[in-house]
Amino acid sequence: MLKYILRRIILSIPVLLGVSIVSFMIISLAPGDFLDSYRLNPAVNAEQVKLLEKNFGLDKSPVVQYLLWLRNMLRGEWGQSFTYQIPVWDLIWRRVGATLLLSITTFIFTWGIGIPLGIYAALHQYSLGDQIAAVVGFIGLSIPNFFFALLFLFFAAKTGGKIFPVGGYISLDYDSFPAWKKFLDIVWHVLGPMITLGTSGLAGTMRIMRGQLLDELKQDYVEFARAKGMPENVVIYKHALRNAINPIITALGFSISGLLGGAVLTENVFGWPGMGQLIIEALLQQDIFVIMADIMLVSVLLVVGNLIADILLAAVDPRVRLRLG
Amino acid sequence: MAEEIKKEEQQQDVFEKQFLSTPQLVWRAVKRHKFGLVAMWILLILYIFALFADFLSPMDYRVQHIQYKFAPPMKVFWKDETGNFAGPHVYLYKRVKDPVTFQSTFKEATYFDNFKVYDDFSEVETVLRIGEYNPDYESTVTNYQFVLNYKTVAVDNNGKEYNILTETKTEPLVTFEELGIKGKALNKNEDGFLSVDQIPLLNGDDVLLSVEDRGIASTFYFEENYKTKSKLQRYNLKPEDIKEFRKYVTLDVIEVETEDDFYEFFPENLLGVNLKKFNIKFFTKGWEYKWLGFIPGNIHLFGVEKSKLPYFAEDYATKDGIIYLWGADKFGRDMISRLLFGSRVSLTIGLLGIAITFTIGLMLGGVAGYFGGWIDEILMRLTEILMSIPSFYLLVSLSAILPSELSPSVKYILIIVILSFIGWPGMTRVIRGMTLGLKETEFIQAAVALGYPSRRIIWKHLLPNTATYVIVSATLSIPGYILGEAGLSFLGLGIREPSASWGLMLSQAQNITALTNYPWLLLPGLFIFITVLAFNLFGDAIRDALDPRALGH
Repeated sequence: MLKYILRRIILSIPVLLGVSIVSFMIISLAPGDFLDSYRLNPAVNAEQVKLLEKNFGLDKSPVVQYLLWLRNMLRGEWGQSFTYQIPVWDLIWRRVGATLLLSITTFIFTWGIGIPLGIYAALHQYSLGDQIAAVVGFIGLSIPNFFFALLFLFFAAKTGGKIFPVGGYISLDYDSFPAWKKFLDIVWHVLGPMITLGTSGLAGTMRIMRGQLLDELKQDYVEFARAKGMPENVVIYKHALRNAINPIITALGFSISGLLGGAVLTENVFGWPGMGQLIIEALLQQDIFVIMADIMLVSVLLVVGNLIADILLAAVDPRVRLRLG
Repeated sequence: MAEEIKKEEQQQDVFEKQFLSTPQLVWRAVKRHKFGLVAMWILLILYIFALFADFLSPMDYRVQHIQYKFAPPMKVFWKDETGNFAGPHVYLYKRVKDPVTFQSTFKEATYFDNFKVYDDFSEVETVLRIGEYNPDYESTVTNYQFVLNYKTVAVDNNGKEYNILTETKTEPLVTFEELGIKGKALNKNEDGFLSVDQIPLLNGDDVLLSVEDRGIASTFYFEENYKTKSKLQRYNLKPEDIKEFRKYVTLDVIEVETEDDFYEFFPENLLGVNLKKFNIKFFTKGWEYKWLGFIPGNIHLFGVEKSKLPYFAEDYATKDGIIYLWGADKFGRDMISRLLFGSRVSLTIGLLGIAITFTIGLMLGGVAGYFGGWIDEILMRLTEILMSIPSFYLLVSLSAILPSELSPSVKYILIIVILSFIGWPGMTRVIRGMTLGLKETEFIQAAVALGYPSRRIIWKHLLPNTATYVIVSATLSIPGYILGEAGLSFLGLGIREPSASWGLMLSQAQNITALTNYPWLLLPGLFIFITVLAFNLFGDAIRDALDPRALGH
């Protein structure tokens, strides 16, 4: 098992290297750079621009720039943000927290509701509850994240921000709150983005769970267990469910990617200060180091997510464990 | 009896399975899926709407009417001011600003279609109408306007009124409140005119427009508005003396312009009027377009005649008839027309994107799976790298590097290319997997043994066997492209103004005031939702239908 994890980690290194090359290539393809606004500004003379170019390393060829960036990053230096003039790491640190908070709560929301609902729907196939769940699921899958976010804000604004806050991360007088209230305040603010971001995942999880469990319940071993006189609860929850949950765990890795991607729009609408918002700002400003750091971090999260999914899979499914040796 | 019917059905089933062609069988299976069938019809209708967007749009989707910024959906009236049925019609809008809260609203407003006056200078009775030659003046009437006096009075506790603010405005339109006939039914006399004495404003009366209680109005008039403040001080009035504020309007004079001269008519000169209404007509002539880029036309499914009021208010006189059945956006452009033209972008982007992605996916996946070895290795590592970057991040990064000064059509094509670029790794992976499996089957082995060239085996033997999967997966992944484009345009990285796409239109609803005050801006989102839902349901039906078990093979 440990060997497997180690191998996976080593294998992900070339992939991440590839990601960095591709991202750097995309950024260098963009016409112009961060200093364009300075060049057009008559108050800044050419020498100053030259100096800035040298400071930022923009006078070198993209390949050299990339190698420099790689060297610095391996040393743990992520560079400076052009726009904010502070180290990229400081800029990103808080954003990572906000994005992780959003992704993790969304994740709990999707799985915490999606899996039980899927199980219920499978056990009560074709019942009214199953059909309602199917319709709601289809709607959840089809509603665009940002449209749902807008509807949510519309609702929040119409109710005067009393039931849900109208966007943002914390309340205005957050600093004056006691610790428990600070916590509740953040939870209250995360609800909106979480629900919007989670609906499609929720619907997907529910549908996969239902289908898988239905498939498993038709298997011979289930019949066998029943014939042996095993209580129905044990048959369903210990044997069938355990096998049925397998593909859901595989989907975990993908769902992290979906969450981070979908978060760009949702964060934008809700004014949630996460990485999605940061990358859009950085892209428009051509703030190279911020973009690179952002993409790298998110890719690492994705790789880690996939790894966790695989480990979980091995933990749940003895067959997988066997295969890994 | 029932037995017989059942037997017959069974026989028919057997017959169909034996004698129907595959497309017929598929169609039969689709028909069983009720939701899928409804979804199919909805999609069909949406695509037809997109195709005939020019004909269906009542107004030009690019033309701005800044006067009608955020105009709400127009109310369609069926009865005219006399209370008789007059067919569906709408009225022009006049923007009315609340003096205290500064909130502006749109009210239905009108002008005179034609009116009869007594000219005391030349001592004739004459009928005036814009754009028509008047024999009495030997000239054509080009324009007229209302000079209105708006008066704000403070009412003290004894009911005494003090005039605190008088403003005179020249207006091309009057609202029904200003005329004093809101909710009233009028009569027409025998020569077809509304007699003036039923209409308080035209009678020369003061018409009460609004009564404001002493809430914010009190602070506003006493402190913030310096004009009224000095007046109130002169009258020695204090906030606590005031019961309420009233706003009146009076008609000062109607200014009529002809080609050579300028006339003024006082309310006492008016003998009869007809109020203008805009009838909704079908197959009417409107703005000009080129259907499919080359067939010129100007016929539209529905619309109203264009307003004749000329240059005093540029915006009231346009080439379009003004009709906002679903409201207007922040530049005063018609939502219906923009939704229709936006659907062209939003609905085609998925189809074109899927076409490109599948071509790439089939080719690379087929090659990788069939040849294996280092080709496979390289291709798969590349797809892994691309799949390790969250797709929306990649999408946003790619579209951010596009120069902003591209022409709309180039931009549109580039966005499709970018969307396809995001889609190909997943597709390639799946096709490769299928090819790997198929490669081991006997018929492929046979083809290899027969010495067929690789190209032929890939195209003729391998790929056709992935067709079922490809068709289903294509239908189900179209929504991804629609959402991708919508998301990019929503962020301002996709389609740009003045072109329209649903995502771009929805981006106007991003700010919270716009969202709550002008909820019709959310309509494009509803359309995205319906389209995506329909594609999902239809894809589901297709998946069931193409399932070999459903086809009875």
